[in-house]
Amino acid sequence: MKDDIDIFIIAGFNALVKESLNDLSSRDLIISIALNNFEIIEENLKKLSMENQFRLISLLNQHNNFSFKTCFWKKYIKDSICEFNKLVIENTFLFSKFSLFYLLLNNIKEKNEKVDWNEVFSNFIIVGNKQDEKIKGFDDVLAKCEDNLIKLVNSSIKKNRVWIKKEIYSKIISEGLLDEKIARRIRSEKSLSQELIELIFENKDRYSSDFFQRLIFQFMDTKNNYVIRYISFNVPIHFIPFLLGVSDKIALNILKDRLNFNNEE
Amino acid sequence: MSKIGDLKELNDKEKVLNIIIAKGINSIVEATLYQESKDQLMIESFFSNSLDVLIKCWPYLNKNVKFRVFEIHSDKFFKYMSINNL
Repeated sequence: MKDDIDIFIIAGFNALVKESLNDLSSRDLIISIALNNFEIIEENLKKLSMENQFRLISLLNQHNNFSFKTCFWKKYIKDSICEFNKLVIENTFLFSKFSLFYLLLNNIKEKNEKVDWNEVFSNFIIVGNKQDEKIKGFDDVLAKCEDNLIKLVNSSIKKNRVWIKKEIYSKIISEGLLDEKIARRIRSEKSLSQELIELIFENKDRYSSDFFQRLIFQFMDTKNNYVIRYISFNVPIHFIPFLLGVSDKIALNILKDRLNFNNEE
Repeated sequence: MSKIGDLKELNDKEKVLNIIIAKGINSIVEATLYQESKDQLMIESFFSNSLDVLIKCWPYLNKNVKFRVFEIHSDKFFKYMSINNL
């Protein structure tokens, strides 16, 4: 009989959590359970469906109920992370939900608990490569892996979807981490170089003037007319003499016009 | 919240569990109402062996479920209710 009751408790919990999406009274009941009878959650959380585990965590997180019972959450995450990682890789459709789970890790302020963000990010990359659009939470996890970005670009960026490359390159540029080698890679990205050259100019203050000039030189032999014309139009005036060898006639005219205008002034 | 009652009452772990169990019974019975299944056998067995639990959950059970309980075990159920003055 106890087994039957356990089955009903789990079914009831699953139903309650599912209802809480649209029903305020179910939501209140869960919060009340968390506040007054947390052991019910402790005993049953792992038995819920993955989707409902996520919903419950998400709901409690909204009500700041992660601030207590830290030991439980710490253990739960430690026990669950491998399972989640495996599921995420196998079931792309679950990812939008689980990506939020990773972000919840942040809310558990345990100094001694280290999360291997590079491993988490690897999962994001694996799953992200199955999707055409940016996945939720990608930015946040990317931000956690700043130290590893250059290594990541140098090892495997070519194999990734365009949106992933764009996110990673953008992060590198805006963090002031762009180097000549990566600039060359960006130059070779036909579909991205156009957008990213604009971003490089937007972030030029993050680089020294000399180094910025060296970065821009990496694009001078690009076959993308937009890129070379954009550079010609926006490059600081003292760079222009170094760029007059460009093959694109329109870009060359832009550079000459800017020089003439400057001399007249 | 009318059936569930005031949130203050929910400090009582047993009452909370009864609400959750009732939700579980409701969802499983509703899902298996019109089909033969392993779940239905489990429910019938539970209904016959766990009347005390059913009574505790009674206020939170759906009409359909209550009807099902009457349908399957009306004699036992009425007897139990009369013994317990319910």
